Amino acid sequence: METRETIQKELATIATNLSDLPKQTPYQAPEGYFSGLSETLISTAKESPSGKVRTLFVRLAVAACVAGLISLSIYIAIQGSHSEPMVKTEAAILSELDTLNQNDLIAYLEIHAQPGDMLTIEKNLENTYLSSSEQNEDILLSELLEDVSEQL
Amino acid sequence: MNTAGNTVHPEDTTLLEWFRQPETKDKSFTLLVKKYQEKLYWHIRRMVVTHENANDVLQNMFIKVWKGLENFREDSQLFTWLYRIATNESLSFLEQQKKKRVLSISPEGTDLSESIRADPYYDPHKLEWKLQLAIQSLPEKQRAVFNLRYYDEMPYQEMSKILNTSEGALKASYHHAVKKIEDFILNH
Repeated sequence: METRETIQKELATIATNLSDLPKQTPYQAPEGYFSGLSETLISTAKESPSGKVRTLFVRLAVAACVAGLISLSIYIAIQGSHSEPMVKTEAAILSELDTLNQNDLIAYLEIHAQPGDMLTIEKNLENTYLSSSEQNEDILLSELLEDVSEQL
Repeated sequence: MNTAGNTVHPEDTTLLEWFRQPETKDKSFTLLVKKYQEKLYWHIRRMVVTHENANDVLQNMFIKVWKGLENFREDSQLFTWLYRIATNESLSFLEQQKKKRVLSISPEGTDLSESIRADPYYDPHKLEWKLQLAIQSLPEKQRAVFNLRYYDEMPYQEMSKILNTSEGALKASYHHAVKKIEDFILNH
């Protein structure tokens, strides 16, 4: 085990100037500080466990609240996104298309239609004209027949 | 029994034995504080400089001792264990102060050299004050190494247990610290 002498010798070999200095700490403690310290420390130490537990409890409560808020916001976000189905059915799409203005549809198709889309559009248009001309003929025929029956 | 100054103190083993018995727990703790308070206070004070800081660190340190003493394993000396807590508490305190200084959110986070110069007993012409300024210029852990060796005249073996560092590394650190301090004193 090292002795005070060996420690002092070591210092002298590293820095002679320093080994010659008196090993005094220049700081001062307030008068009478040490005489009442043990009583102060024992009362502080005895009070500390409940304080620590309370601090821990408060921390845990805050952490639980934050975790709760985060979970709630995640739940609300998920619920919100699920309120409208992610994939729409064909019927839903068609019913939505019915509500659209025809001019808007044309304007959209002029901008976004692909060359391949033209065939589909033309086919649909032919069907539309066909059905509409048939309907018109029926209407005309019924009107004519009405006129005849009135004359008779 | 051993003596520190003129006071007779019980042996550490006796203090530990008394601490484990509820009826003598308080008495044992009071005696333990009385036995080590001055040495530990001055060790902490040299690290944190002001009395207010040293008092705070000492209180925190003894709260930890109160809580941990019952489970203290006697495979190391009580004195070494107390010094380890005191050193760790001081280093943690300095780390917090450093963070406060960086964030500049508190006037407490003033530089330690400024605190030395603000001491009512500070005398710039006295070598012991110059030595304190030189010590504060060292990194925190090296400061602890220097103080334990220079002021407490502690063997490297004990220091190794306190600072959890190899004896070789401590020896090198102390040599560097002494050289730096010598340079500081000669150039300031």
